[in-house]
Amino acid sequence: MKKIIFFLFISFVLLGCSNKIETVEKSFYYWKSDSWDFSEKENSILQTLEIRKLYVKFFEVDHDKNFGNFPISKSNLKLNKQGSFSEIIPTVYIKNEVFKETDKKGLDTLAANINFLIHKYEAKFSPFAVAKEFQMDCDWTLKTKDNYFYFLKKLKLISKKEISCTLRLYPYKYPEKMGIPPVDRATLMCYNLINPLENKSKNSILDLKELESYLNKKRKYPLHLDIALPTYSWMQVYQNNKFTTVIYKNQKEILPKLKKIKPLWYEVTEDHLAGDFYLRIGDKIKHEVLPPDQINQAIEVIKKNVVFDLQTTVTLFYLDEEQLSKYSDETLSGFYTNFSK
Amino acid sequence: MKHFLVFILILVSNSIFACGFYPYAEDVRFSFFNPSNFKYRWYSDFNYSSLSFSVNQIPADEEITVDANEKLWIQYCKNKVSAEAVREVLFDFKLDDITDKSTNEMLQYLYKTKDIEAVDYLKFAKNCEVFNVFYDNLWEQNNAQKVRNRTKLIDQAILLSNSVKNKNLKQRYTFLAIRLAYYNGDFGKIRTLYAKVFKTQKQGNVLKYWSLYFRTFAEPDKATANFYASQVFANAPDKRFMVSFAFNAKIPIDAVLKHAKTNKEKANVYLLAGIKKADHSLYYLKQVYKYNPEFDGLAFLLLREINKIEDWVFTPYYSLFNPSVGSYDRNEENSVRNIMQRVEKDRIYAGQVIEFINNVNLKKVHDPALWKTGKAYLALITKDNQGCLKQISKLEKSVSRKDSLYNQIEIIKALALTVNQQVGKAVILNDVKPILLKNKTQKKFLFAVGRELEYKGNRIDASFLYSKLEENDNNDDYNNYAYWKSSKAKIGYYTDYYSDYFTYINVFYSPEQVQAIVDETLKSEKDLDKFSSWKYSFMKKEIVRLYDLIGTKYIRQNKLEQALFYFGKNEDKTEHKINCSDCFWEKEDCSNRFKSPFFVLKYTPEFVTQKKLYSLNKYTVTQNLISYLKKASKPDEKNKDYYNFLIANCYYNMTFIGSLSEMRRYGSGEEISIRDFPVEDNNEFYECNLAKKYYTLAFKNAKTTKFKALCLRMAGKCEANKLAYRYPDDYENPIKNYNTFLLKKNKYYQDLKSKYADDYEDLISDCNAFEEYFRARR
Repeated sequence: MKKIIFFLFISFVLLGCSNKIETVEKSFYYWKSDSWDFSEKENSILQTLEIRKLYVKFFEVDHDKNFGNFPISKSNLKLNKQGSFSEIIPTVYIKNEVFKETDKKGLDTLAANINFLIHKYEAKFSPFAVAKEFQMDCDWTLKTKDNYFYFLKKLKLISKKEISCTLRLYPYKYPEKMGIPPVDRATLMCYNLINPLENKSKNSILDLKELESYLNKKRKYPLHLDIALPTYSWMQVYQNNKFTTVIYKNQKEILPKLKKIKPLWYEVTEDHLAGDFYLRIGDKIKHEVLPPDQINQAIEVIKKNVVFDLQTTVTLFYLDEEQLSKYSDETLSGFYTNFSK
Repeated sequence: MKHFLVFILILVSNSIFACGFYPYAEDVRFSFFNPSNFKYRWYSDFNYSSLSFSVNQIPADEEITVDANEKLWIQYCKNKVSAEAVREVLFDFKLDDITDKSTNEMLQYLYKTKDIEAVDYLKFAKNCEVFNVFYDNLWEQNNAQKVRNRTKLIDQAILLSNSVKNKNLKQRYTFLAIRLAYYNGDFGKIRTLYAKVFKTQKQGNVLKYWSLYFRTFAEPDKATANFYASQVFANAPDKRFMVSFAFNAKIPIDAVLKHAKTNKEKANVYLLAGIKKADHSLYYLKQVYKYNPEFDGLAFLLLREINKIEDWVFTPYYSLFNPSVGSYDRNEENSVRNIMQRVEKDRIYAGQVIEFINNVNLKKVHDPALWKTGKAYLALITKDNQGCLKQISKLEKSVSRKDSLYNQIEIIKALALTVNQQVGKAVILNDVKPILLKNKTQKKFLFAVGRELEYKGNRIDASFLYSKLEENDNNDDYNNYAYWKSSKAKIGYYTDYYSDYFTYINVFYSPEQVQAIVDETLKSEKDLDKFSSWKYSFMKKEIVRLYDLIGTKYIRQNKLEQALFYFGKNEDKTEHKINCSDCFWEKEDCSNRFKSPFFVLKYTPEFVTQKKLYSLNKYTVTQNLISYLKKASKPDEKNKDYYNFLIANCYYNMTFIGSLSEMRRYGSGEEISIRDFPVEDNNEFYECNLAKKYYTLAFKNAKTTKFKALCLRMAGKCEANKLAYRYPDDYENPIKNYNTFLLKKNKYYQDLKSKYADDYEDLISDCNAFEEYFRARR
């Protein structure tokens, strides 16, 4: 009998420590404000990959000392066609400033306003099911922690929805310092780990060493964790060795006009009009892009060090035809399935 | 997660990505062709700038002109009312102010002529004002109520437009309805109303173009929308800024031109397309000229094109390249060369624009003075100095001296005259002097003249002009400062540009050149003319600093006697000895360094206990160093080991890791710890080669094993610095087991380990042993 109990105990311990995700729920972030609908290619990706879940940025919240907290970048997305989605999660990005100098009354008002506006915009997404979950995205700091957490609780109370939030790697690694947000689940953001201009030789979107410095041992976070991975790229333009602008679109057009000078860095060899920006000979570009194997290596690091539940959502940032053109559907699919291998 | 726009703003913001100021965009743009000299106020939102289009503030001293709407009202009132009266009703009055009791001239006229229709219109328009916003609540609450009220007003406006007799008022009501429909999001209504009332109107007035402005946003076809936008742009100056955003530059221009029926309409399309182009707009200039040569927009487009070209040419030419110094880094050298080759191509383009101007009939165009001045300036850009000066001399005769344009012409003349001189013979010409004086607050202009002199070999006069950059520093107009770089300097983030003369000459001038500056400044005591007195005024206050600089430069060259001579001009030559107790009881000011650099190394316990302290300065340090060198070199000197050791300590302290780095460098902290500072003794500053030499000499002359070991250890310390400098731990090329790698390469430490094995651990692991080993000298 004792042996059986002992055997069962060991089994539970081993199973409990098992990190393996059994079911990956695939999703994307949709972050564009000015598009009315998905493009044909975006639709095709969603269908081929059988994406049922979408985190859609409904709006952002900014703060002004005269006007208080106000919404900006409101989404224009209207899903007229019956798609294959079972779940649209309204996502709101809130600037940290919003939580800096505010009182409880202000936070109550904020929660009420956000709840109201989300519901109003939800109407654009009918005939889909009403959202069960709202996601808040804010890079909170030590100073704003208490206010942000108060706000999250209030939002939950008013909306009566499941509330999730984004979680950067720093608060993930130091929960005793940064607190654990009072939400039902959190999405661990495994990208943008470095200030883009701070380190000229690292890829600020995803640097594996940097990721490993946060995910350096197995940790069980006291909340259900989902994962977000980057599938975007950008070009930082430097003129006279000084940062000038970031280019997101038409990178393919620009690449043939560049000459590589060192890892990540290129020099413009031909004058080129990139939208309204005139790229000149001699300008320098830091092109940060993530090849599939780098993302897959990151997945291995995450799998090794983060304890997941059996069912976890993996979200790619972000759904955009041009950004995703670097990856085949098979590669994108692989990003999801690698979590359950 | 990112909000991209906010992210970009954060990236661009100086206060976040640099913990201090760093010049960019308009700070660094060189522009000598000032748009405000040409009075295109209504286009000024589109003045060329390295930033995106922004609303331009109207200068306070500019007189207010009567706009088109005010003119229409004045006409309506049969020219019997003043513009001020109209303005008061339109902008200052509320609904309740519109009564027959008002003393306003316009209202009195309307009531007197019993034009109640017009009065009713004004009241209605006042009622509408509050609805001419998108939402009063950004959270979109109470929106339904707002929209209902606005819809009622729209319907009312349409009814009134149909019922009123006067054609002008009919149009006004329709315009109000269109504007309200825009804020209501009712684009269909806009299209219907516009088609009904304005589309067939042959002579456009301000009401038509204001309505067309909203009609543009209601147009689904992009090419048509572009066409509308361009017509509004040309005809409704007050809408220019906003409607420019409705013009989509990606739409092929031929598709837009299909809608243009007249030459003027075509010209309008080419104008807006040309303004929105960030690269070459010459083709558009030619087309606008072809279809509407008298258009003021054409002249503005030319002005903009000239500002673009000068930015492409002069900004890199003046601020990036220092031709007198060779390049430091292969990549950077290639990059700068590519930029300069590009600049030559831009000069060729400038020539093409001149060719266009040459083929223009100046009697037909708006503002011929702009074209002529522009031509002169472009000639300068193409390096046709003679052509430029010829054009300038014609302009000087035709433009009044009181006109601000005259000063513009003189600025171009000053640059051309300076550039037109031969290398090695360039000076500040007498004709240029008064122009410099008159424009002494234009820092970039002063800098450019100085830079040209420097390029032609006259570094002394260049430095005087650079010194003027720091005067009149009363405003925060960073656009007016001069910032420049050297292709050689690739220093840390904050300090790879120059904005003052001293930092620049510190790096790039020889001691003889600095001496020449001093000589000329001191000689100038006798000069009385206004220009000379201005030229030398700043440098006269800098003599002490300049002497110090010359001395420091000689230290860098290790010419100690010369250094001593110059330090002696400023500094107290006596060595003050201070008792420690005087420091405790504050009888002496002990804040200056008082630890002898011959006996004390930074972060190291003292070799010898200092009973007396020294108030040191550069003169006394140099004097002592010379004295010890003399002693050490005497053939019969018994304590060569001792003196060489002290000399080595001093040289060690003069490196980046020592307590006396100010012997070689100015500034502190970040500024002097930055690698690649392009100063001649850079290697010495980081590698401490001189210290190593004298530690080695001390070793050779040492008489005891322990002292030999100490000398070897110190030489090894220098060697370690040198190796770290030569083989930096670079992220891109990481060296495995870096510390072990450095140790293996350090032959002094290797010798210490193998030949002085008993002392190795003591000396390497702990600096506390130094005193014991130093005492073991004898």
